[in-house]
Amino acid sequence: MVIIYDNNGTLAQMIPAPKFLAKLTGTDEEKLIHLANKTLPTGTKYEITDADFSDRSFRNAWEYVAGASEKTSADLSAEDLAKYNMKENL
Amino acid sequence: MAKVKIQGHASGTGILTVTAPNTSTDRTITLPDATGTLATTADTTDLDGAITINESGADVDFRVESNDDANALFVDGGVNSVGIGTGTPEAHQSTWSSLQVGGNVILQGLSSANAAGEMELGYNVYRHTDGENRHISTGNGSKIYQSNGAINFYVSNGSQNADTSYTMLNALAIQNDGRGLSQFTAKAWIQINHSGNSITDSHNISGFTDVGEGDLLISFDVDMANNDYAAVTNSSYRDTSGRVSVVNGHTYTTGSVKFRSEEFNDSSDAWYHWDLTELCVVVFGD
Repeated sequence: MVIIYDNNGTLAQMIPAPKFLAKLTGTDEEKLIHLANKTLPTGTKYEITDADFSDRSFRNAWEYVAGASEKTSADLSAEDLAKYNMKENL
Repeated sequence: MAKVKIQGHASGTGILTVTAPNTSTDRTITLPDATGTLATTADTTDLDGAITINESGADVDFRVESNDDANALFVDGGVNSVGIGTGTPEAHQSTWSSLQVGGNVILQGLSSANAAGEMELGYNVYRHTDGENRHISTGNGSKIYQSNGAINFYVSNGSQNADTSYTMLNALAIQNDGRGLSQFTAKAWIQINHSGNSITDSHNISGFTDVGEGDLLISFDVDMANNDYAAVTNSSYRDTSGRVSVVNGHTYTTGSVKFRSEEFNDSSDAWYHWDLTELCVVVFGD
């Protein structure tokens, strides 16, 4: 599964690092929600999908279209911010 | 205060002095009837005072047995070495002091009340009563300091005066999350198959974002301390076409860094955005 979101009119897809996911607990979706909260600016609309993006034809023309399961990135806890050394957000 | 003095044979040197206790309770000292045993296994001895063994410095050994180890503690009077679990500690070079432990060795510390206990192994460094590092003598020192599952390697940060508080340089810190923090260890690395949208392997990376053809962003697991780090990339060579490529890093932030990869097309004599199958990034910095 990957995280997809809009990046200035083009679809961006975030591929999680297996070693990062391995350190987290919860379901795969919960892990990706955590990654989205960590990586995306707070309030970013995104979706978690297992769609096949292997055909990269016209890659730069891909657009993000909101689906039924769209989510919004949220703030991490103060504890997580400290763990990830995200000082600018503390 | 009654005293009883027992003088041995005229040619002997043994003197036994018994001082009566200041109490009405009887005190009994039982001497063995054979040489070599002061107390039997059923007896206990409570020595409550300074003890010196081998005051004359004779070439004799001192040995303590445990239940399963005849040499739980062994002081070799001949080679001036101390053995733990060995009765044959090696002789050592003069000016060196030697503690030799036999068999497989465990040196461990544990603060029962706090799992985040600390342990230090230092040279010419001691922790003063105020908690600060100080050198035993003027010069350099170093120490290995363990705390909360992390191991830190400290050096003295230049010669320091004895018994003067100073801040040691933490030259290498191995964190409990597996990262090695120093100026000479990689803070993060990754190999990406951009065209296949997969991560071959990585360290301290939370993921990468495919932003477009040839454009991507990598995100750190634990962020960098500032934006002044170095992100080293590869320039791969495509076997099937013989085309070369370049990877350019840009937009450095503490949490991520962006890259653009391009490939040179000989036939059109131009560079094009291209998704590499082996894009490698290694990051050094604070």
